[in-house]
Amino acid sequence: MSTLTSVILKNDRRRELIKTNKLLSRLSLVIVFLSFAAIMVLFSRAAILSLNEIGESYAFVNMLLLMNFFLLFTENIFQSLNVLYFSKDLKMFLRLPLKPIHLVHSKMVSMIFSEYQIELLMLAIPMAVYGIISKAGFLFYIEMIAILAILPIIPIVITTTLIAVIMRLTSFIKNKSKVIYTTIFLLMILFSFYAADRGLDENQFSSLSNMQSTVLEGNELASMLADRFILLKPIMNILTNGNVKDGLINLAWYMVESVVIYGLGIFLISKIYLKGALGTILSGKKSKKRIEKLSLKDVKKRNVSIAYLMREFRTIARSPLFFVQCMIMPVIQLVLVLLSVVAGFHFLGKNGIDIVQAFSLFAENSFIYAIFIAVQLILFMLNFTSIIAVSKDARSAVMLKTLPIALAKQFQMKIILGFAVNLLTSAMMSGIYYYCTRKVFLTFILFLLGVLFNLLGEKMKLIIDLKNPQTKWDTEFVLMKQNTNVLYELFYSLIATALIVGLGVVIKNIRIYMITLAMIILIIHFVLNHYVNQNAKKIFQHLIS
Amino acid sequence: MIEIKNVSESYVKGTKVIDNMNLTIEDGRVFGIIGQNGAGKTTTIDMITGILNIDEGDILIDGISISKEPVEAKKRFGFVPDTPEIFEKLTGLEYLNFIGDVYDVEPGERLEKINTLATEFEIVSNLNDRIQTYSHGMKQKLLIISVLMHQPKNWILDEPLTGLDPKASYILKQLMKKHAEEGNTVFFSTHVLDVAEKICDKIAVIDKGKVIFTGTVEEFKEKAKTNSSLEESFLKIIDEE
Repeated sequence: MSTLTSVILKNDRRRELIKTNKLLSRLSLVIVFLSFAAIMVLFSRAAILSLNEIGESYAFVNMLLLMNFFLLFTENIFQSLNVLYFSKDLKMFLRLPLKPIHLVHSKMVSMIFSEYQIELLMLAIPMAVYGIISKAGFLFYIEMIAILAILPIIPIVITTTLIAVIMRLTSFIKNKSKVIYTTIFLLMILFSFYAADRGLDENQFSSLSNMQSTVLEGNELASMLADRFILLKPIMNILTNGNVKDGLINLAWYMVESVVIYGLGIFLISKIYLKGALGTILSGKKSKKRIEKLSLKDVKKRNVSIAYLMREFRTIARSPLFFVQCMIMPVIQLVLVLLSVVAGFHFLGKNGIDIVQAFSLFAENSFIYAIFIAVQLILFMLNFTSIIAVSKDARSAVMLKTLPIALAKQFQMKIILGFAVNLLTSAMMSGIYYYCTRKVFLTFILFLLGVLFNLLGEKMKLIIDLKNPQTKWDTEFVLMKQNTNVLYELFYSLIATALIVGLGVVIKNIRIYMITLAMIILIIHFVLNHYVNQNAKKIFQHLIS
Repeated sequence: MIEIKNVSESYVKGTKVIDNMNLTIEDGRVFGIIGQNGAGKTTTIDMITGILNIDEGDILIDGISISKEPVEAKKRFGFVPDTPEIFEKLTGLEYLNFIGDVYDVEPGERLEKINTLATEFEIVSNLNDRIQTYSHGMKQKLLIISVLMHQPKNWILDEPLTGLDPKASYILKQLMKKHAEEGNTVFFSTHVLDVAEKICDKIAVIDKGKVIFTGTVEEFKEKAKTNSSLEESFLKIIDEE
């Protein structure tokens, strides 16, 4: 069993070898990682100090654990579907004389290991910052490592068990895309209801004074969170409990919870796994309409660009994970932002604050204007369409180079889908800005600047993907999750956001700010377009068979 | 006509995978490039088709440089790769229509070609299925149809017979011969020497990135000083090298 686990782990982790300067590539990755680590340190420090001022520093750890726990749940919906049911190595493993429980265990270990990479950035660094600020002892860090090691087990087992049940029940359905979509949405809804049910009581925060009184009671927020999430209560209590003995008891308790759930989970999954997995071997859409002879209506002629775009769209739309990540999630994120803004306005309105009047003070403030652009950039960043524009085609991506379409033109066509989805973000942010300020001209320029940054961002993402194409993936999930290119994309977004906000701070006059920003971005566009047109061959050179 | 002129290629600096290659594949010939695994056959084809940038030298397709005028050069060939992994989320018909649009094939011509070839290769009833459901051989057939559909003058095929059933293999060999007889070029790689012996007008043998022989099969046997099969001649020459 350990050999199988080791094979699966190595196969999942080892990256493809490409013709590139390894040292430079590793160095740039380290720089990008360190930059993010630095940002996490800064944000964590600011959050802990703010919570400290109102005596709620424990809440930082609890909120962090809670956030990561739910992140693990949602992320694992995709992960377990792909690793257990739609992985390309499945056919090979199912031919071997392996017991289902061994295969499930090995795959599960691989999934748990893959979570540690994210935990390192999202959890380990903020917790270490908390430890330093609160002057925690050596035991805190030992307990922290133990928590990080066992935290992913429960969410992964629970989600995977639910997925296994759904896959077993739907193993007779031949159209697997429908199964995947249904599974993802069912589980998303289930977790959302759970989160909403376990979330904060609306009555507690019905007014500003209620909110203040709840928060001002020392560490009330932290214990409220711990009480509401029973499963997590032991680990929430470990790090915030000064008592060594209690901390260790809680840790032991959570370990027992995890081991029991893991054992029960893999036993149950292994009992139903094979039939569900065998069902997916026949994945892909077999059409009911069998062709005997084609007619002219089957071979309509299209413009090359439209044909190219349709092929791009079909590749995304017919891969559930790509479609959810590239098309659905950006829209859901917009809806969430919009709902939060509407709820915030409603809350302020109920407390007698007129948002338009309040905002009139900042309507021509270049820093606020910069924030509206920066939020767009952050939302653009979450759209993965262009960062996988080449990689999504896997090994067949190389065939694009043999087509008689100029590489520079293919470059332009590949960014259109991501750009189009991002336009919704610019429209929404401009709408919110208009609602707050009622300034037509500034809103229009905000939209235009959003469009320019959108175009630039999509080009940058595509260049990143072309410079380091990830075409040898086994599952769509591996491409989405273990894609280090995303780090470079985040790095770019970070620099661009810093530029936008930094200029907003330096240039106080909003008109000068707009003109300066527009000039800078137009110059960057000009340089980038020139670079792509002159160096298309070089940009595409890493895309090889 | 395909001309490979003083071409060298290296993946790692200082280690040439193709070393000063010179080849001329004239019109009207079926030209086979043979060699052991890792000899450089696929690298050569990747350079001809524009997948790999050429480090040194140039490759001309009907006199047009693949490096300097890639789009024009690419219009002049059809390519079947060794691993038929093609846009798997498309249906067979969608893929053929995409290729038809890219190469500007008129609907009438498209219809006639697809109907004839898909029927001949017995995949017409699968054209509405996604390519991901196809077997290796079916994908290979689809790729071959897509190449034949836009009637390029030069066919470039990397191990084209791998995975094909006997009937499809026979049809493809006949089509290759016919295409060359009509004054066009067929350039293909193989490590199945029987195939090369049966259908090639001319062969090039490559080993460790170098062309060690160019000529007819008979000339090759003469060089190896054997009267036996191409296979035995090949093994003898490679051992000597």
